[in-house]
Amino acid sequence: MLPDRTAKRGSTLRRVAAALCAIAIVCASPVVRAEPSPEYLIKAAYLYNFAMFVDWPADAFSTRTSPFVIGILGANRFDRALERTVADKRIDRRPIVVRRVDSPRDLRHCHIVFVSSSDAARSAEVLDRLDGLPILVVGETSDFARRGGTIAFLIEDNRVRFEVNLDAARRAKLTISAKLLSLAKTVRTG
Amino acid sequence: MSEKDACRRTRVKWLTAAMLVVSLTPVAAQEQPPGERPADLSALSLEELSRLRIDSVYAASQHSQKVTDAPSSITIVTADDIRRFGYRTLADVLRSVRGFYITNDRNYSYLGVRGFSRPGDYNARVLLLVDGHRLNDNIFGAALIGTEFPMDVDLIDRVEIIRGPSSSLYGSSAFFAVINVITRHADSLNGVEIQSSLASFGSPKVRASYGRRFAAGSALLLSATRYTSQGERELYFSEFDSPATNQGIVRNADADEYSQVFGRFVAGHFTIQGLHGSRRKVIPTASFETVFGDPRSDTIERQSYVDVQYERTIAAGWTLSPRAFVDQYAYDGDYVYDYSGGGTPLLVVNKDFARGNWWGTELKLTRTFASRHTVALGAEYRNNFRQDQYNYDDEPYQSYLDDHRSSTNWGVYVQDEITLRPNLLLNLGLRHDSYDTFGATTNPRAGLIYHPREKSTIKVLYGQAFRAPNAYELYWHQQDVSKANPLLRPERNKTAELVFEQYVGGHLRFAATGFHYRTNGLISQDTDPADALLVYRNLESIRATGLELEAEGQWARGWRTRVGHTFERTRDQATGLTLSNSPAHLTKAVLLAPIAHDRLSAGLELQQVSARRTLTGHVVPGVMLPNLTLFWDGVPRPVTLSATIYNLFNASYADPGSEEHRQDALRQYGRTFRIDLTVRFRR
Repeated sequence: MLPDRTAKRGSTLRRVAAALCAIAIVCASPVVRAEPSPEYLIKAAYLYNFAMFVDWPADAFSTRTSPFVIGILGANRFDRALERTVADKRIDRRPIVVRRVDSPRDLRHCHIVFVSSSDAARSAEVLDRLDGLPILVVGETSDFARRGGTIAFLIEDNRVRFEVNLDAARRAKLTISAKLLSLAKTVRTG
Repeated sequence: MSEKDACRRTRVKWLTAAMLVVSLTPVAAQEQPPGERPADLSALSLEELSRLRIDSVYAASQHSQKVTDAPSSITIVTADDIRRFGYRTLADVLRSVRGFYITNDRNYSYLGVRGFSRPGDYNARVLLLVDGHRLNDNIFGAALIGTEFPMDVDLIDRVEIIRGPSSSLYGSSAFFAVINVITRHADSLNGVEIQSSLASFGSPKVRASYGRRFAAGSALLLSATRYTSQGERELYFSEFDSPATNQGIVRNADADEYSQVFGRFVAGHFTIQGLHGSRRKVIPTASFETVFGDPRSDTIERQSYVDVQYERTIAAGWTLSPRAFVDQYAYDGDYVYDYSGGGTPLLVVNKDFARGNWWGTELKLTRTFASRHTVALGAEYRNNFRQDQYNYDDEPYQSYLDDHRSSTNWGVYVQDEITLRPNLLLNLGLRHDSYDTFGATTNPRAGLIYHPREKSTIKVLYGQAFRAPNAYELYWHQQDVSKANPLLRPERNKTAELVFEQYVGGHLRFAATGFHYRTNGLISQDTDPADALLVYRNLESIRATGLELEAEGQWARGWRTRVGHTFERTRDQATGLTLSNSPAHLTKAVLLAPIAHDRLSAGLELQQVSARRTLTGHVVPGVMLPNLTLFWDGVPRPVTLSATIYNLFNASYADPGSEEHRQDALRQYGRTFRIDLTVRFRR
């Protein structure tokens, strides 16, 4: 028979829990800024890599030094992680600029457009408007690449993966490096 | 650049990555004031990025969120863990996580959660979901987790284990925990995958899976599995050690076999998914006073469903997801009895079986308002159009039970996750359920989640849960033995929990969780003094208090370790005693050692369960079980090979028996092995 010491041990445990609580509160400092989730830190790093491993046609830029523009459409879950990721970095000597975009009309001057899942409802309109333009359109809904987006992020096995639509890339006159394609979860044509 | 520099650079890169990702609340460099110095992952290569883990959970709040923001204490087990630690069943997955333990009676696997493992409850106090579809049946409310779980664990992408009550979102059964099994994507197959494994006692398993995404964007996944096991050739039970029962030795009566099919088709916004699983287990323990050693005593469980789901974002940012489903559950038990009462045996097969059919529909709406409120609204209706139980003797025919029932229930819920301050979240949920058996119940949950510093999380959680009495408890009766009790009330649970998590030095995580459970009206069997008949009543009140401590580390090149310990005390209010099958200590430790990067790894696992009281008041001693897995990934060749030894040192141990067993404790398997080969044929 187990001796019954439940009641006594129970109160000890409660005391330990209370002590832990106290320690936690003592450790606490009042304010901290919001941080993007690891998912968006990873997605930000991917976007920077996409800029490096995709070639844009020369006419996508107005001058030799005009900036490389990443546009974010919809809720900005990156917080400032994307700005921090691309700060001080260059793509072929071009500085990288991140822009929040509210209307699909303002997307034409971007080189990468990231469509947040909050704006998934507008993705058909966005894709329609950008079709044929030299813009890498990246989304994060599961059907984004199938619906004509160039790259779609997927979450699988607790990791961020991506899918590439080669037809969409071809229509946009973008050349995707073999390295990027080799790491894509799937490569679809059409 | 020298080789040493390169090496150091790689290490710095990995440490940065580990720091950013493991900590979940990624951080700027320590010395700098926040916001000054860029913190990013741009130094990582594409390969490295694709390997980073993000710990997010869906089922805790019905939207994807960081584990540290969820209103529960959570563990995620991924497909990678399943392969690298050699988990064969869902029970193997669950026994690896903190606060959980498994009891096996050589027929079913029973899940113990934080000291609660009530005899004969078939895990009805845990909600089991497959891709959000409820698996608990409508007769016993059972969550089948051993070989009786109707899905192949190698089709799992990840398992979300959410501790504590979640009736505020899911209604009945979300009493002690919610287990959400998320299945693999068709893309993870992209062709054909053949798995074959061989384990101790001549136990082969073969699985064939096919996954493909079509040009039109639709995706298909189909899979079938067949497993057969002879089981242990010879078992000895000292309780039966007499000349009449073969000196306690039973031969060839431990066989186990299952067949499963699973399919999913995704087209546009629609997902249609279905499964069917059938498992047969021979009972070697002579449970329910059946004839010892007769291999005709067995149980068959069959479970299937078809589930159609639609999901899309509609105007104004609402995500709408309706779902409809049809489910079927069948249980067939053959129990061989000797009616002679001594002398020449008179063997009769008693057929005990149940048929459950139900359909239901759910509607869920979610939306985020002004980045401050994430709201989920939902409604659920369930129609149990068949809840039938039968019991009869085969030959000569005599019926003991022929009970036909049907019932309906519905529920509505609302949940709001409010960002009070950038570092302070309030999660409030409330659900109202109505049953035509006992009436209505309303269950709230509240969680305050505070990040006082970048690397610290404090969660203060409170929740209430209920479990509706099931058809078996309400209606099972047998003349002169037991009677029905249609007046049973739901069981209730009130839980307070305090979670503290701290990240140290980037690659280490420490967590401490204190919990206190007050459960009332637990349904258990009792004898009515008026007529001496067995009857289920709302009897037990139990208090449980415990503390969980866990440390986890992730290092460069894939080294991973996790050590957790749970202290718990349960107390039956009526008797003042600790519950049966309730260990005071549980220890879990895992170590993943990469031998050659991702390609070859050794996974060592230790699981310790302390002494447990049996139903008769004896004690089964504690045991420490190590499992060792070697896993080889033939990348770029599409082949993986693994070999596992379970119970490495062949420890002899037993689990407490239940009321239906004459054995006070049931001996468990000694050292066993499995080798597993998976080959992929990509398109």
